[in-house]
Amino acid sequence: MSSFDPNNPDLQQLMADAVTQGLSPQDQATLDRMLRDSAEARDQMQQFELSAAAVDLALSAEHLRSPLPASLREQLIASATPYLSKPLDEAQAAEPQHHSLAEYRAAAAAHASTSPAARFSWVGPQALGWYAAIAALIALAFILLNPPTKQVEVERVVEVPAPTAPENIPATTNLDQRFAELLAKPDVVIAPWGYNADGGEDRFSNCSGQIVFDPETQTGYMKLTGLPVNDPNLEQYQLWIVDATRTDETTPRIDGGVFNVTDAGEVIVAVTPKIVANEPIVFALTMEKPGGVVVSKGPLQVVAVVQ
Amino acid sequence: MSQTASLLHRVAAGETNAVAAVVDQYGGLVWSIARKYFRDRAEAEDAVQDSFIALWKNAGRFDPDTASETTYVAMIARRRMIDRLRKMGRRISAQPLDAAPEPDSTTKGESETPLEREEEVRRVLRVVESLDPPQPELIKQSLMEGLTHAEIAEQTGLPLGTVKTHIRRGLIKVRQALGVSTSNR
Repeated sequence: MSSFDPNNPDLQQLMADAVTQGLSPQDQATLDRMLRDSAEARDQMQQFELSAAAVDLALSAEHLRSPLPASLREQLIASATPYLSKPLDEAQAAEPQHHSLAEYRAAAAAHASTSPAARFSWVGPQALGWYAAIAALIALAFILLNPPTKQVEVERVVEVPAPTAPENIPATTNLDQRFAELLAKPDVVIAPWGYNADGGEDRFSNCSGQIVFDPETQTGYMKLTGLPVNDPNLEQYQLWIVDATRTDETTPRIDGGVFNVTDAGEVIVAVTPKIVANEPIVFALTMEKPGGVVVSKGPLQVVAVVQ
Repeated sequence: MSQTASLLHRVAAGETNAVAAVVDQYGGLVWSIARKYFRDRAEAEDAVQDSFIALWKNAGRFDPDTASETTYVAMIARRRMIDRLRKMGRRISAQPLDAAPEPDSTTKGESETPLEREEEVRRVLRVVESLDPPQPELIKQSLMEGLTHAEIAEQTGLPLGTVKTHIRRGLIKVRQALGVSTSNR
């Protein structure tokens, strides 16, 4: 139950500051949490945004006469293609649920690697691969999540082998060797990790790495750098897997289990789903309460899109 | 969907021909907003693309009872610009555009009918000017000149907290006056 008080001047000030001068990282994190947890807060935030936009438009009207560069027009039209599938269910659009396929594909589109060369661009040969990936997502039946009144049971899938594989493992270990061996196998699924620029929190902006998964043996490993250390008493990382063959409304994505990061630097985590992931197309990490959740409401922080 | 439905709703309904109409209708607006925040053309182009993706995602959420379609588009664009600046570690500073026309500009990009836009602009300006002093001036300094609240406080001699409170209350009153109520403090 949200504790947002729309009359709280401090919370209102946070919103007013956000739409005028921006917030410090700490204040932004506070606002992000508030917006995530409260529909009323989101509504009020939008009202502040609309106010600022209306005033901005009115005050600068004399300058708003710069036509769009012709070179951008076709790109912008093309950018709508992934979003012209089935319209969002109204309940889903109005009240963010746990992550829909639409959110995963948006995160995929906003997927950003720390390597400048790998940054997504809507133009050029690289874009074709991305369009194919996004088109593949669109080709799936649109998965609508259950409304808030219905709790969806999603099986906990992955148990990260914590006893023998501490959460923070230096790269030069057996797991690292297994990672490399799996990478060399044919027909494995490989995806680069990257920060979700569309909603991910700033502290994950330097994350990168790779995940490799073998659909035949249902084993995999993910190697990441730049993940912030977490306090397991407050929050844990949770892995989610989008399976292209799972269009069942009750299992829109697979819970990949929870893990901790106890040291900065490169970490490697084993992945062994209990439910078969036939055709993983997207992997994502969220931050959840200790022990993880059945229904995630946090933002997709880091995303790996199968290429 | 009816042709009288808003462009955004038609996009949300999956009408592909509405997409080009949205780009032609609001492309200039979003481009202009981007150039205010990003002087570098390449950065502005990225910001425009980012904004339109956000617009496609949020097209179905447009509520004509809360704002005009132009204001909604501007809100989405400002939100993405501010978010980009924040993630780039740069301050939010909007500067007025130079008068020089952009090369290779489209001949399209006309805004809503001039009469509708002018009426809306006049209405908003009336609301801003009707605010209790010094709220109008502080809001202009913040949104038009891109000054931080601390900079405004330094320029005006007002305490920082007072500046913040005035701007907050001013924005709330603007919303109330434009038709959608919000908490009144």
